[in-house]
Amino acid sequence: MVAVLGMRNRTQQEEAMVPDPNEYVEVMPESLVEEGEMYPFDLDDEQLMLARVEGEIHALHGICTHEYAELWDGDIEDDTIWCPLHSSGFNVKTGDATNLPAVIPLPVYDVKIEDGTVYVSRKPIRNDPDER
Amino acid sequence: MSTPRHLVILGGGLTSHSAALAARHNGYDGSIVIATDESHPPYDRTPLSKAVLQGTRDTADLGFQPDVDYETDGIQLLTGTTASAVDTTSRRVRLSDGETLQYDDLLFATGASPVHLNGPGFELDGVHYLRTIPDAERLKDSLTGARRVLVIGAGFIGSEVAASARSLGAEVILADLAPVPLSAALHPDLSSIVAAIHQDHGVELRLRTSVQELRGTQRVEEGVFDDGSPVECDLVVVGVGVQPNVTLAEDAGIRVENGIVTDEYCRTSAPDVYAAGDVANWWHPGLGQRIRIEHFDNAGAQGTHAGKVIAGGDVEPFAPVPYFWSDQFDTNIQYAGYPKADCDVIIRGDPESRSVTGFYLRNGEMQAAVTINRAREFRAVRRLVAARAMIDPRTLQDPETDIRKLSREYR
Ligand SMILES: Cc1cc2nc3c(=O)[nH]c(=O)nc-3n(C[C@H](O)[C@H](O)[C@H](O)COP(=O)(O)OP(=O)(O)OC[C@H]3O[C@@H](n4cnc5c(N)ncnc54)[C@H](O)[C@@H]3O)c2cc1C
Ligand code: FES
Repeated sequence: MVAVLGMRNRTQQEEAMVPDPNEYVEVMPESLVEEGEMYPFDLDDEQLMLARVEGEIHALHGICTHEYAELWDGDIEDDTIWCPLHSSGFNVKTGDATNLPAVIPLPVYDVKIEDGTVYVSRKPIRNDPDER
Repeated sequence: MSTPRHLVILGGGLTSHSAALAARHNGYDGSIVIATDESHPPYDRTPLSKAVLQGTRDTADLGFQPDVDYETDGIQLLTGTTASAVDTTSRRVRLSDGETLQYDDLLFATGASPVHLNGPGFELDGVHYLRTIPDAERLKDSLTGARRVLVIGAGFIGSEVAASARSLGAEVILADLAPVPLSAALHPDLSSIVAAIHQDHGVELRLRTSVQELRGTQRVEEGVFDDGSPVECDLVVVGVGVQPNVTLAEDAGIRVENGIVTDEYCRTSAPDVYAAGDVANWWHPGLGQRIRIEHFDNAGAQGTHAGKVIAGGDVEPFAPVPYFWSDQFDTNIQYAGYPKADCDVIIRGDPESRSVTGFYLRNGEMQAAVTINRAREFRAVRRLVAARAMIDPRTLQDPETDIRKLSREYR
């Protein structure tokens, strides 16, 4: 789904404060991400979202794996994201489908916070549909 | 557990699937056998009347276990296997192939089957019922060439099939005895909106009437209403409700009354025999009455509950907020709760917009709620129902009220 990244020498980039823009994208200021809320954003033709639970910010794919629904229109309770359409549940940390009807887990992306800004990895770190 | 026990689960639907996994994952270390008369492993029936008929979902990917099979969890799945008798004294199940299964724990997850009509002509070719993958595949094939489809029964299955057939371009007549579709499930102020949505899409509603007879030589060619008027059709789908599959339990002397009677722990009248899902008529301690629910969410949740009870250990009584959804055309309907009679129904939103939320209030307390094309509000509304919130009806109706925000207090 995300453009494939070539092998590169990363050492210099890793030392920099700002994550490598080939691997991470800037999303929004951390201070605007409220507890229990979801924030959609676009990344390379995909719709992702941020969700904050117990202070921690998570980035996940934003479209339900059951049929088509924008998950940020749903709800978060404890660490479950509930789909607005048929109430599938996804674990906000692992992306696992914890409540049917969805059976396919949600891709999870890495989150880095640098200088008060939220960055999200371009490729999923869990449940990458390209690796299924 | 000292000596390993043997769990036998009858039926291969969602209830069975959920119970088997929950028993295993909650420490049941004995054998688990699922016996189902279907040839498929447990699968999701809900797309059968929708995406499958519309051709957007393949029947091959309806399984609940996409990446693993049941063997991985040590669950033995016997497909194509009908249970033909149960003896609760010797704790044995006789199977259609002559084998017997010995059990320590037995779960009835035998679900429900469509009620068949047997008036004149109902045996003609072109008359369909819908419950299983083979039913859906046959119906889908017939829909391809169908010009005029008569759907008898405007409950959920009938209404969904009508919407799918219409979306495929057929002329559709949706007939029911009741004055509105979904009359059993929704308040008339809400079901009338569903009726309007069907009419918006060109479905012909024939209400307050019944189809007395079907006529045709080999295949069905017309239906006849109770006033004698004919309606031309080349395909008939009957969706007049389901009945719980209780014969086996009844013959075994287990208490049956509109389903297999259970308590709030899925226990039937026989020791170590349980029932859950569409087949069970269970005691809901929160509602103070027995209910039988024919919906997906309950099958999953109650199956899971049964599995946990069977695995032993501390389990809360089963007392969920009932939930279901239905999709018809581009309309999403969701329902939370189980209202008692004499509720006031408050409508939020303009029926003309086909996007409303209905709140069922009893003495001011929220008992149930329905969203029609308002999925964004649904989880919030569900939370209000779970909390039995008392909110001024004017606040609920006020378009300025942000229901999502309002519900946070109840999180
Ligand atoms: C077309 C369709 C669309 C639906 N859409 C929705 C929806 O949109 N939303 C919603 O909430 N719900 C929906 N439902 C309802 C939902 O699918 C059911 O509530 C659910 O399937 C119930 O699961 P269950 O396991 O209890 O029973 P079932 O699914 O009926 O499974 C019972 C199983 O037991 C087997 N069996 C019965 N007797 C025996 C025997 N003697 N030996 C061996 N096996 C036996 C049956 O063949 C079957 O495999 C829909 C149902 C259908 C048919
Ligand atoms: S689209 Fe999310 S549960 Fe169906």
